[in-house]
Amino acid sequence: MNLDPEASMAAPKSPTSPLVSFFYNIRWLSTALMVALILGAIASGGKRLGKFSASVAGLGGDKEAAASAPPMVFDPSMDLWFGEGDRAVTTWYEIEDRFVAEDYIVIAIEAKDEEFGAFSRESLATIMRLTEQFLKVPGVRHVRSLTYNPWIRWGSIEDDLGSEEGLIISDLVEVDPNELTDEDIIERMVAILGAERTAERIGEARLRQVIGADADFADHIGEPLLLGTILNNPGDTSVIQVQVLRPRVDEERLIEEFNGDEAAKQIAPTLYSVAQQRQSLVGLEHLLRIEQGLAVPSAQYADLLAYVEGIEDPDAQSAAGLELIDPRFNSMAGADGVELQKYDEYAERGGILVNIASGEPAPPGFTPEARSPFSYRIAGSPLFERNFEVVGMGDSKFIPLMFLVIMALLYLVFRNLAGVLVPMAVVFGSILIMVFGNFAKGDLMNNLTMMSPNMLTAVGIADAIHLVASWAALRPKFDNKKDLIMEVMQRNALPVLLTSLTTAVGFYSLTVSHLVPVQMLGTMASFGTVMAYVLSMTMVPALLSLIPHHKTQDEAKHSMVAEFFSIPRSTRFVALILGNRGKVLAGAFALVVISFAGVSRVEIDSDFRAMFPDNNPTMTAFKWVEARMGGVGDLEMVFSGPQASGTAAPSALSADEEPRLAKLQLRRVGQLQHPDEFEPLSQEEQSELQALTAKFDAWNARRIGVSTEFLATLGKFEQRLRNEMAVPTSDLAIVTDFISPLDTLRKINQVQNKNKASAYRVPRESDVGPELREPRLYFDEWSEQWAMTPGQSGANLIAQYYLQYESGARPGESLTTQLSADRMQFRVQGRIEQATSMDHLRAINRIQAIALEEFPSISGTIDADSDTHGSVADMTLSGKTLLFARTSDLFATGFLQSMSIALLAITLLIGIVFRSVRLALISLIPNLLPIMLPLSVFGLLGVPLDGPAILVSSVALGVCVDDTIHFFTKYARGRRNGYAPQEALVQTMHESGAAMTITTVILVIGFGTLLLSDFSPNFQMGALAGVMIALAWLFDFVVTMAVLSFAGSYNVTVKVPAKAEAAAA
Amino acid sequence: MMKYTLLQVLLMLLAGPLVADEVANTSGVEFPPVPTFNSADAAAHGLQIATYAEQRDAGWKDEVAQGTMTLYAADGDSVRRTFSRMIYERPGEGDKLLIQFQSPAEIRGVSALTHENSGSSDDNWLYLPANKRVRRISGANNTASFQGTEFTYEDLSNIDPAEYEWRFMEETTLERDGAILPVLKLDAKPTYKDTGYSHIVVYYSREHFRQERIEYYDKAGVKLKVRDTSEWQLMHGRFWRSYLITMENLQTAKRTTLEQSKVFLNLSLYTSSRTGEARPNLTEELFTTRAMQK
Repeated sequence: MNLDPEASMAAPKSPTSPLVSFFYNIRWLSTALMVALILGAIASGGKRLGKFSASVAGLGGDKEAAASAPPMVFDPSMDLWFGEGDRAVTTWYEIEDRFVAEDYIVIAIEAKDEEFGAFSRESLATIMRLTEQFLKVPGVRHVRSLTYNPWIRWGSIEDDLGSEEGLIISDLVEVDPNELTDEDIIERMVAILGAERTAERIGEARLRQVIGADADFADHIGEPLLLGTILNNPGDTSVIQVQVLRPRVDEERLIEEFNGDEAAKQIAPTLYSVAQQRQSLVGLEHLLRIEQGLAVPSAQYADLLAYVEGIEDPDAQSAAGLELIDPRFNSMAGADGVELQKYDEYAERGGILVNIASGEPAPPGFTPEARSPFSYRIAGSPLFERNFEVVGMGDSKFIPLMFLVIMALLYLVFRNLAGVLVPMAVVFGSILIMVFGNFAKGDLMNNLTMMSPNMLTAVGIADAIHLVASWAALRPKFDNKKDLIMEVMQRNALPVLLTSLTTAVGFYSLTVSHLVPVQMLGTMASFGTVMAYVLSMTMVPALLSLIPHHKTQDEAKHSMVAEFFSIPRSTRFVALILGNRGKVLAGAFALVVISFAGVSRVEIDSDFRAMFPDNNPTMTAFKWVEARMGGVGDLEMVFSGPQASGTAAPSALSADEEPRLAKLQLRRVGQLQHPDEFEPLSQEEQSELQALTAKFDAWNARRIGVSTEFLATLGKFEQRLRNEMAVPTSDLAIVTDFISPLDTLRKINQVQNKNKASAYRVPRESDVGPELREPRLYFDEWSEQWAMTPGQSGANLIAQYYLQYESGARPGESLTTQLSADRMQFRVQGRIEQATSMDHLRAINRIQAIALEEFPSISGTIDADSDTHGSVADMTLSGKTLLFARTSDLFATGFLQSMSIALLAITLLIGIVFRSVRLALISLIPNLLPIMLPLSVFGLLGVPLDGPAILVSSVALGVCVDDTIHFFTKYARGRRNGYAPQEALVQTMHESGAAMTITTVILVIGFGTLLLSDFSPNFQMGALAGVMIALAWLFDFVVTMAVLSFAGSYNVTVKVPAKAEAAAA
Repeated sequence: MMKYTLLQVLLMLLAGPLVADEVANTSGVEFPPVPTFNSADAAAHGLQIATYAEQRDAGWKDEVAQGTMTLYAADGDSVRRTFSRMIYERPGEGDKLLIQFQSPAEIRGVSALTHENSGSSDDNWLYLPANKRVRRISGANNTASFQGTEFTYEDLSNIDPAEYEWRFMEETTLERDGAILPVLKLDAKPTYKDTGYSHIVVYYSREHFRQERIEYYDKAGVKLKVRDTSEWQLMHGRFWRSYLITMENLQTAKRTTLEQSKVFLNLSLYTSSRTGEARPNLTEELFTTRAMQK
């Protein structure tokens, strides 16, 4: 085989540098060191991973979980993508800290064919059954469903002493739904749907039998808090909303487990909470499968049951009993300690039912016996996150395939085992060091770094191929192995070093990104590239010296590729290019212009819906749920009491000051009303009263949660947004709904006013009558002291309504998830549909604009310093949806930065190595054009690019430069050896054409395996990289050649050699 | 598990009778005799302990106290409310209870009245001074939070031994203020419907049969909350009252503390600062909706 035509024409032996002979002599030692390094990386990375995984699994204190924890390789948490902390990010973490860290999983149930829709007895019974089961899944904090939600109303309360009107708080359905009469059902429909929608469903006549012939529909508005959230407007699809905690790990526990390991302390809590949340999700899915008849007790279930029943120690028995019914895990240890499967679980795949664990088809005759006739869809961000992980991990299954294809290709080219094994050794070695080194460093893999093995394969093979190609070509010319191998090293050490460096620079430039996964990819891949070079220079000589030396050259194996770049063909080609170099350069210039125009129009946009294939079950369910219930994505608006910048937040009265103030106030009022009972305030006490009052007022001014002014303005803002949300063409049309404590206040105000529909509003200052505004003194018999009820205001009414609500709400329904205990932070939770990140950003920016322009007093626009009357609150927008949408921007700016840095570094490197400013500048054209052109196509066509896809540009740049460097090296050598520019070009093409072509093909195939990915950003990445690398190859032969001929020979007239002319003729 | 040294055991054996003798029982209510516990049957044994503990804390007639509840969020932020509380004991029927908030000022005067009904649901009323209305509240269920705290109504109502399936687990110890406290550990499964728990674990002090700690397990069987009762004071040489109760939610890291101060038990045993005579006991008329409106 002969890939290096140089071998056939030049004197085989170059003067050997002492460095090369040194490295040759220590090849076994250095190889041993490298093998030790690889094994060391595997050992330390593996050990750290194992210890870390056990520590994470055991964070909750479960020693058994810690012991049996599988190694955690993948970090699925979405926090990774949030970028570096600005206000939206810190607000997100503050929300987690201050309120409750939770996510919602929604299970939608459609009951279209039933007379009462979702209120049919069977539907209610199903919802009730599932609700009760879901509540028992560990990690579930709360469930809200049609049967399990607070039904707060005004009504008549019966007891032994007669009946009394009052507030009734109960679940909507408290009894067995099958015992409900039609009237009971219709009453509940009206309570949630309101009269109008109920009439649409069952007819007005039927409705009026229950609510009365002359009832005014306007008095029955339904339950705004539940409508659109757990029940759709037509009343036929309902949702069970499951609040799943991301459990906290307290700081002490973290320190105890990880001590000084900062990296682990950073990611462990998230991993732990994601893993716990994931288990809860598995539990919910298991229960749904039982409901659908898709999970049936296994053959061993009876054994397990008998074992549990036979345990004598009651504590052990109760623990085992819990384990048996725990839906999160489908196996448990039986009597002899062997893990037994509890259920056979089936899922539909490709139209048939298969056993999930074994992958085998369900036994013949198996038909699922569903407990109810309904179908279920499950959605929510935990599913979404899992989908990313499943698809991300799924991509790794293409790695073996990629290796097979590349090995086959290598064999085709080299026709011997060495040509296959040597490059593979370099590739495997460097991948192992890279991946395990990453683990040893304390990082895990993520969706982006999962692609680093593919990338490094391409790079490592390119390194090794140059060595093996030289070796194969020079082999017939040498009498002994030593000289041959030393010559191979001598010729390749520098060019391969250069190409490795430029590739590493390309990767490393990614670390300027603000996105952590991108930084990680940059670090990993650049480290891997350097390691691939080191392995090439140490292991390859050692491996090659194992191969017996033959001097024979089998002509039959002569490479087709090498023959293609024969001298005559090369000469003709160079003549052709140079003859048209004016046109070529004009064309290249035009392409540069077009590229710049196109690239400047590239839009980075991500759409989760489009990232997965159409049949992805998670996304199908998402779309289904969103079509009926509206958005599942979150949109957080957090309002906080205004604080003048640069000043300390006013503090609350201390535990001593509070009663002191109350006492002074009591005496001041008491002095006026009962002068003989109270001592007048001294001068000192008066100023103390003043000071305490001032301190209280300063603190109280920030408590927006009880401010009638803030709440009224917020109510208007919310209405303003709702009006715009209702316009289908508006940017806000993708926003579904908002909930906040405003809804709670409206509801409490309504029931406090005997269910009047008109009282469904936020309390106002005028709701507190003048007679209540004065303080009231009374003598308290039981403390034997005077006491005072202070004068009341709107703020008191609101504070007392909150208290009233919280006295009746289940912990999961309490205000703590929406309103901070000090009432200074007020959270409005919106829901937003899946859309492109640009649509998300447009909606968010629109909300921001409306707030700033039309509601400056609650959006922090008015400077609290200069205008203390104006600013009531600050507003911050946040939420996972927003943080994700912003990653597109981060990708775009990261792209510009890392491309600029890489380009600058590579151009400098070329300038230094070739000692030529001119060559460095020329190199910009073949380096930049292949990157810009494919990107510009997207820009010109107006097709948005996924964020991760554009990253590949920096990577491709590093790889494209390889070609240029090989081209320049050969050209410079030719010129140094006295060839005229044109002859040097012919030699260059002849010498490096084959190697460049083979490496290009292998790189394109390496990146091309990403085309098999189900995850569209990876697909785009593979496609772009492939096209860019192929273009780089093409441009080197066309554009670089034309440019070099100008640059290298201003005064040399182009003379086509006679031989070439003859051949062309 | 705590192991104690011989010296500690000796000290405990010596200290037990000494402490009991130290304060004379001036309450006029005798200690009920300790029954012979049936340690062969864990269920019966458990029920016996719980029943005896309840009997030991009966006969105090009425109680007036000042208190502070502090609600801690997961990040340590806290909010404080003070209240006064009156209880009228009705053995066998269910007590009557009036809680009135003192601070913060915005809720001063809010009062909650409860008539416990043994064997059926309680009657509740709430008075809001900002609209000067008393509202009867029905069905505010057992599992609802009490005023936004980590306590639910279920946690605050007395444990009725008849409403649980008991099981004696073991004799063990708890650490309290650096000292080791011998306790009886019982498992109790609620048999009533409206409960938030699969079971609770109650630790009674071996000596005084006080509830020292209760662990609450959620419906999934996962430990949800721990309530610790401490800073005990012996009133009238007969009844133990705790000055500090903390309830910690292990799943959300939120916490509520209830501190009591100025506890008066059986008012007739105190002298009025105004009249210089013995104070009258609370009467049932004070526990009506009219009395709430201040």
